[in-house]
Amino acid sequence: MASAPVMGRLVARSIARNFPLNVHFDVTYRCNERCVHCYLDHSDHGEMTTGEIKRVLAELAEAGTLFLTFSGGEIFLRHDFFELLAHARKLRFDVTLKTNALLITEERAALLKQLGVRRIQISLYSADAAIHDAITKVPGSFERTLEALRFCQVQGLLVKISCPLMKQNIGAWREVRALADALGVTYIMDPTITPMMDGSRDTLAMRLAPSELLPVLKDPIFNPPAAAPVKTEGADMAVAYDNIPCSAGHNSLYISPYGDVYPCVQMPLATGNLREKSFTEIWYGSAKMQRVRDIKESELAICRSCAIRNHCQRCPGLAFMEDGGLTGPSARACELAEAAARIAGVANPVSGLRARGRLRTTSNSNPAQLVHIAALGVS
Amino acid sequence: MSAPQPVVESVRPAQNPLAAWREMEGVVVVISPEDSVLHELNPTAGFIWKHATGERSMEQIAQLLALEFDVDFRTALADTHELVKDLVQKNLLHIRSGSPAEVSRG
Ligand code: SF4
Repeated sequence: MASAPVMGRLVARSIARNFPLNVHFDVTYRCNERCVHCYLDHSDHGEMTTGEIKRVLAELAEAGTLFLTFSGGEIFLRHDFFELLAHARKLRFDVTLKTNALLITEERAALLKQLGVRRIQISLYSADAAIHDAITKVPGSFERTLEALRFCQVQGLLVKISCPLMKQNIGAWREVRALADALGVTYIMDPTITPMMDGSRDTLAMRLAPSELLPVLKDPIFNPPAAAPVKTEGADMAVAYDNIPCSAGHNSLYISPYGDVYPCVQMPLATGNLREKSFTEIWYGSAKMQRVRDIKESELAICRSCAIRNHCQRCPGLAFMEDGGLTGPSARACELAEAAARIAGVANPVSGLRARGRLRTTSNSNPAQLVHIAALGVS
Repeated sequence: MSAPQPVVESVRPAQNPLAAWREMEGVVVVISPEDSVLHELNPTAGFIWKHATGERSMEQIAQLLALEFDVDFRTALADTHELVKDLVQKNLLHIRSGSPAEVSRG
């Protein structure tokens, strides 16, 4: 988005005052694909009703949320999705959709534009239909997704292709990038593969090892020239993030289809349920939310004295899900920070865990910390 | 039946319904839908934005502005014209026109 200093000021103000500026709202976990790496339980265990979601949206608008992302599951499986969307737009949210696009027809794309949806993020796993369809387990999904993507483009919607990277499509980052370029849409490579919601770690077998990610990291398409500005949001943004790990719980949150409120989609720490309490009660009153808010980078026991901290993209949510807790380092973050440091020319990078003799040889835990690095220069 | 309304300028600014916006601590931010630019409005522009419902005329908005910022009507009207023009150019506001009777309901 243009006008970066304005965005910087907005973010800084929202973090300083804990305004819930960004909300990621999963309206269903049901899906019409069965992606091999998916962490969701696709059964409906009691999704919020149309009326309940409308009430929550009104509360969010009142509380100051501007950026609203509807995601899932597959959002278009909700029979009331367009009704929810129209309501959200009436409340003047800036709406982004995350979808596999299988259910987007020409008419629906036109309706999305008419309703004022601004951005749409579509998952595409490969430029090779066979690989894409093998990951989604839906024959023909590649062609259908691309067709829908074009419908959205014709309408002038801002389209972004998201390409989760895993063992099944390890070589896809360049070809999908080339496809995105040819289509004239934005591209983001995302190596985040998380444990499943039920705690199962089966999905982690698909994550790329650091050695597999190194060629990706080194690829010039993710390494813009040093002179190119990476962050342009200005000083306000830098100050806002100065001593906090990320925006989770500060100005961003996640809402599940069942009304549970979390600091982030990647931080499974339930802080309250919107069927039992108002949004404001949970956001401003939950002790767990406050606990997350109170975490300061300077107080992270091991990380604060880590020699390669500047190369680390530790995600507190993923550390919490894995082996680091909310305030500790995760083995994966340390490994990836060492890899990033090596790329940057550090001869013998030693992470906090390695310095304490607690880092085993390369694990296959989560590479989500690379998301930021990987996204550089491609948006 | 009410008395006939005086003829007033029937230009009524209205927010572009495709724009997203919020007010945070008195600062209005608006995202223009076509080019995704985030605009931070100054206090006067923010006030006009919030009152541009499509039902109030420029004069009615200027009257409210004069009261809010304690300035004379002539100054408020000039500011309103200038800022509405700017916001229309940015496609954040649209201009509606209608009969004085419609305007008088605003
Ligand atoms: S490399 Fe490990 S110890 Fe160092 S800052 Fe990152 S997570 Fe913390």
